[in-house]
Amino acid sequence: MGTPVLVLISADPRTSHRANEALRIALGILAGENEVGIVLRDKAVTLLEEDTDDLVDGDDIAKHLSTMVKLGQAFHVEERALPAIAPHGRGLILIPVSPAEIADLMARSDRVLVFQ
Amino acid sequence: MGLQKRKLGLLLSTHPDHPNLGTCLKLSEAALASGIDLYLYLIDDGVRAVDDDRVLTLSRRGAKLFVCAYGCQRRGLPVTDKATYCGLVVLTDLLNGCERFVALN
Repeated sequence: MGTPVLVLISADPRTSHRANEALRIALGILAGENEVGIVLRDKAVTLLEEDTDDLVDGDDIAKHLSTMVKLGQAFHVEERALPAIAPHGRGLILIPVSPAEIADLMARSDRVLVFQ
Repeated sequence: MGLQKRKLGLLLSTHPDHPNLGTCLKLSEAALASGIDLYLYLIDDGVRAVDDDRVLTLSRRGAKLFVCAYGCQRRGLPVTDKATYCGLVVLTDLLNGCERFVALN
């Protein structure tokens, strides 16, 4: 079963503030007690790195991730991008997904917000 | 079932220079011409579009115009009486309450 809202992020947090903004929006929707699916693909997976100092708005990203961990939010991560990062080590729930599975998640969601 | 009195939500997060603004305007004009209730939410770089006369015309024609207050604050943009300045709670309400929701990111 899909989620009511799916937020798919592929923006590169090392060069664009949009990855953090997408994460902020996802958190805002989640805080409204909505079920939210988050998919990270391509360079957006670097959002999950332990060290966010090199990311645009890195302090905000760290705070958002910490809150999401407390809320038990899972991250669907493009499986081919996962080995490229050193995952954030504080209890993030990571679900590796293939491109076909990402497409399936999108198809089964009521709303899809894509941030490239 | 006709589209009269149905609700369309539009999210615009890109700078006014991006082609998304043109798409947003055309979709909005078509929706209003069809009698659809239109809810337009400007966020991130899209908040700058609140100064665009074409967006304000949509508001005068009946569109409900919302602007992310946080996005304005981060960009040093003033709060004016052109729109309703709000937060993600309103965006969430639109996501839940509109029959159709289109995100232009």
